[in-house]
Amino acid sequence: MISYDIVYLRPDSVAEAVAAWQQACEEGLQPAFLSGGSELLTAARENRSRPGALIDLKRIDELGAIVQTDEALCYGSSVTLTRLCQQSGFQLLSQAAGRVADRTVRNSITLGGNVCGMLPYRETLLPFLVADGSASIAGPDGTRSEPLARVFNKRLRLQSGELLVSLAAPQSAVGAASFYRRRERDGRIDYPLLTLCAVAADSTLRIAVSGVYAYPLRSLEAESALQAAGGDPDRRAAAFVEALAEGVRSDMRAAADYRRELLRQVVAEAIRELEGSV
Amino acid sequence: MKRYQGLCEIGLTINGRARRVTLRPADTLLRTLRDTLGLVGTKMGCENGDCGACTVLLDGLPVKSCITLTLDAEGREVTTIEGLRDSVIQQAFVEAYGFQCGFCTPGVILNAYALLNHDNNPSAETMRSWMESNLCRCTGYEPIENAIKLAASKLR
Repeated sequence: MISYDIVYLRPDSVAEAVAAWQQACEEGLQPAFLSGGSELLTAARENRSRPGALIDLKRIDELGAIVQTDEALCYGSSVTLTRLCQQSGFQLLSQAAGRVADRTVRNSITLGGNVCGMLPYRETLLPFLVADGSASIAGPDGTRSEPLARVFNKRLRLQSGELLVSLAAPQSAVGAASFYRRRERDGRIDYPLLTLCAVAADSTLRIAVSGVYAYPLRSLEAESALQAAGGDPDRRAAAFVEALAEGVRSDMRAAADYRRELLRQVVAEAIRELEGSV
Repeated sequence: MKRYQGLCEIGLTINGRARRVTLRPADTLLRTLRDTLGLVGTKMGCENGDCGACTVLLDGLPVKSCITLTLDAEGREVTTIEGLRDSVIQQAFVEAYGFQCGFCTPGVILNAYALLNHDNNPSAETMRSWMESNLCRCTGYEPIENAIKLAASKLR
């Protein structure tokens, strides 16, 4: 049970949602945007989070749309992970979405909730990182589109009152050869020790990982090191891991050394599988 | 834009029947079903979205009612285990001994019911991917799988 009272707001448009945030702030309510709710409501029940107002984004049509153009596939932030599994048109995204939580919870979890949530994994972001994707963000000053490389650094850098409208992946990356692996300690439904997404594009391998650090990561330095190393896949994978920054997670699930070795092995697998495509 | 605060009254459609409930916006669907409407077939397990005991259907899709606000169900069709009385799937669980203590059973049956509506001849992999959302600590998963296969054969 959530022990305290909240104000619940259900806007019909993105503009209304942004205005609702400002209004709630003026009322001193400490608002939060609500999407699937699996993280937020659990945190509220445990008193780890106490938003005074919840602004429910799920009934805003624009946020629930998947739009295909000649240049890109664009996914509204309220699209559920179940829908991404079934009809994303982007294999890597379907694979990443299909391993978050369990099937029933994926009927609730949304792309935006997964990407902007409190958990460190945010696995559905990985396909967009390797796709050189972009984010559409709405705020008091209107809506803007930003490359993820500019707006994502450990987390999506949203200002107070801004919300994620959609994520877009260029068609060139959507159609590229791709690789996905997820490794857990205890079973399928567990947080990942490692999730890795890779695509072969522009004669290089782009690699993004989750579970290795306390945030999803795509390291251009490590990709360059892999490219420069030459030699067999094991040697190139070792160069990739060597070039990564310090700070690999060490916790009750796995020590940092174990995660690094696991990463090296999975990167080598990715190289072998995608080698003919680079 | 709709705004709810304090105690508010809303309409819900539960098992095909229109109901009016008074609630706090922070109330979860699980709490409303059990404490306000007396539909105690929906079980409270972990209250964390992990165990699946509280599974209900929202517009035909299984959701965990412990992590769903009641307000989310406004204007949508809620199905609880009480809505599956004398159904094929329920009878199959009886015939195939698909339950023991029965605590997880309502959530399991609702998820299985949604699965068979989606695919009345599910592969072992499809069945596993749907049913791994529900934990059972005593029956074991084989009798549950057998019950779903029995129901599927009756529905085909």
